[in-house]
Amino acid sequence: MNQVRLTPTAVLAGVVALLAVLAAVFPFLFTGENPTDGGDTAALLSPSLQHWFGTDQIGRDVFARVVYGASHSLLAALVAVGVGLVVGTVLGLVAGTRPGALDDALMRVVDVLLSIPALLLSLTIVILLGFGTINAAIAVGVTSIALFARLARSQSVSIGRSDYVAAAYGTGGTYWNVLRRHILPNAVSPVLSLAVLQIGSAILQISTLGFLGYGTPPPTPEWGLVISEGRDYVATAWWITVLPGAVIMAVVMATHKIGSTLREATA
Amino acid sequence: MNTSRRTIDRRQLMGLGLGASSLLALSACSPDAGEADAVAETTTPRRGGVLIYFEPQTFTTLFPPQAGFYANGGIVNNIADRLLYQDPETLELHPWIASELPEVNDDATEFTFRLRPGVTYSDGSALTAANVVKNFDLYGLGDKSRQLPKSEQISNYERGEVLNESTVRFHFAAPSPGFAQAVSTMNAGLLSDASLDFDSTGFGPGQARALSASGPFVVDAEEIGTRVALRVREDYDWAPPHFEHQGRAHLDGIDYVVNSEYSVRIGALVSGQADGVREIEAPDEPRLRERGVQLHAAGTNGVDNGLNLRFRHELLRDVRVRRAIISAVDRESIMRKLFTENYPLATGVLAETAAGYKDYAGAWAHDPEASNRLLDEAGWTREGDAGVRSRDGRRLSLRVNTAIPQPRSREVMSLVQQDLLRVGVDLQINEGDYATQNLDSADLDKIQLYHSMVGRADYDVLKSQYSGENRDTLLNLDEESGEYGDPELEELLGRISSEPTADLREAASWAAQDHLVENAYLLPFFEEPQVFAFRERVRGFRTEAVARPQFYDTWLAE
Repeated sequence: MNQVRLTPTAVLAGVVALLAVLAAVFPFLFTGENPTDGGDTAALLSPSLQHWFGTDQIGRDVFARVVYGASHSLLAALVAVGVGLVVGTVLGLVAGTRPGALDDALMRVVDVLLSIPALLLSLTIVILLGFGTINAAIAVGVTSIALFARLARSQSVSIGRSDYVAAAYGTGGTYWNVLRRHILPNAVSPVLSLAVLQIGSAILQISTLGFLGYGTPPPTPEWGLVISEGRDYVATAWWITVLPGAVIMAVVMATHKIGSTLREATA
Repeated sequence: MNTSRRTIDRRQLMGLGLGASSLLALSACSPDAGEADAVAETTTPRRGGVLIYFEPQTFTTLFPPQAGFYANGGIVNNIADRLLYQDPETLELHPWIASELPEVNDDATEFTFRLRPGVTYSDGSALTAANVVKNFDLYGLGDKSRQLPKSEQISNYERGEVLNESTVRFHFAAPSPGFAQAVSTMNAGLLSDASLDFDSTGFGPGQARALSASGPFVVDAEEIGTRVALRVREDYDWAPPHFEHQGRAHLDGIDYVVNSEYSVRIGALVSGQADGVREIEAPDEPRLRERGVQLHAAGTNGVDNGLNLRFRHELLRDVRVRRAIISAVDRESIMRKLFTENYPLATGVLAETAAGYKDYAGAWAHDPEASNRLLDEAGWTREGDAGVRSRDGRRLSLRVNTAIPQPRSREVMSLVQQDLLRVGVDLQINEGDYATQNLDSADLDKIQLYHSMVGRADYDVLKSQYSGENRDTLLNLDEESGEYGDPELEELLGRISSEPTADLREAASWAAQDHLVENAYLLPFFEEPQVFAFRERVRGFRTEAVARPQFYDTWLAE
């Protein structure tokens, strides 16, 4: 494994990601405002020192909503990536180490999954499962199964041809034993760096579902929902959509940068 | 509210990747009052031109009894004439297709109309006495086999009778004093014999061109869910006789363009792509006005926009819980935060300009302490001062619909949600498009608080909204057992539509309102207007009595 290269952008990305994680775990460190109850605050106030991101259409502090929304959006992204990572890796490993009918069958299923646009697939799944944060996360996770399966399969195929795997079988190792002890540990690091990369797009997809009304029910301040509720006011109150949008963009780009830095390091 | 068969909402649009928000550079100024006259009048109307009118929703049916939905009524009102014309300001009735006001017998069970000669439908057939009877036989009774409901505005209809070629008489099983007003609404728009034979699909999207009525405009083209084009009838010559303007309409036509994305509609208006837009949201009013856009706010003269507490649900059966919910909501703060002076705070069950209005100011005062006390008394408790109350392990959690046709329903409900949580009542806001909302709203297990309103300038409007025979917004009627949760309410409502004189009807309407208020069945927010915006060149825009656009007098300046 190579050394991780700490460029200034990589450091900045790390700081942004750290702030996002802190906001998710300790939101009260960042703001004293209530994210779901605006009290008597006027609606549609423009950004000021008191309300950094202004107030929304019913007088809630937008910055507080973004901060408290971090836990929902990040948790959902982790669940989504977890689903894709676990299911996809298992499918890929099995397919890669069992050439023949099983491999063909699994990979054709993956091809079918890949051929369906991710948004369409996640919408279909969330409608089947019902609305909500975790359901939206699962739906997004399912769409990334194919990616993980493809990668895990190609890794396990190349590792499966190596001498030490042949040796492991030769010394009496069972299929599951070899898979667990030799193939999985060696195939996993590129898969994990893909997982970090996927967090960014999972946040984006979950926000999309939230924007369309399929995610967390109001008044929970999920990021996509915050933007969706403000979009009728872009003409009068740009801050409700633009500033949370900028936050999502920053977090997504940061995780992406971290993911690609890690991938370079493991390549 | 009529059931929608086709609506395109933002989810579907976004799913297709078509959603777009246009960023507009608008600037602000302070609002001023008195907008009803804001659409300027000048002396000589100019003939010609097609008006482009942006609508947020596509029409669901053009069957007149179901024209209550804003998108349906906006079209039906301009293509179909009525027997009488109701002045939107004075609510007085005037002759139109009937050449004089009807003769009514003493107990209001027989109405005799004399018809104006020479009126024809757009398919060339004549408007005859037999045809008028055929119209009201369908509207008064409905036809289940064709899935055409009866009009909620016509009560106790029995039959129509042709007395001679220009005289018809309608008979009622019981007094039906609201009938004269009912024939003036767009829900009683007259159709040709051929159109009356359609089934519900025939009135639906895709079939609009086949419809033949006698109004100043005719449907000329239709793209389902996107656009409906009306064109003028050159030979139209039967406007209400008291109108100054007679003969054909000034406009050559109106193009109704459907776009569900609000920011796109506003953008189209500001950029000059659209001449008019329906449903302007309150925060945009000052900015639009400064840009020279004319705003036109018209009252809907009916039951105020408000929350109906469905008392048959077990969580709301206790009047103390209902009272607690009502006093927890700060109506004035909601109005201040979300609306402008075009949206007057409700002072009664009905709008001040509606028939039968009674003042109940003070009945819905904000008093969260009283709410806490009432809920404590009713056995709903919580630990400390935060969180949701529960009783015997059951949480006090209710669900409200999002009233998509109503202005800022989602924001209003978000503030109500906030107010209720402060006293420990959990409110969930139902997600989903127009069709989902309609379906869920008919189910007591899904929706316990129902946000709605209805416009109709007659005493009967209360019955339309609350009777088990009509909209039944409180779900008073138990569909399974056929019994009423509150039979007294149903009886009071029935009396409004069966007392023969105006005085008795007003008294009956007041009694029903007293009952609704005393039992804490509802929480009215505001008198709902429709706010339209028009470009500077649009002149002479009017609305009918419940704020549906009427383009007969409208014209485009150079």
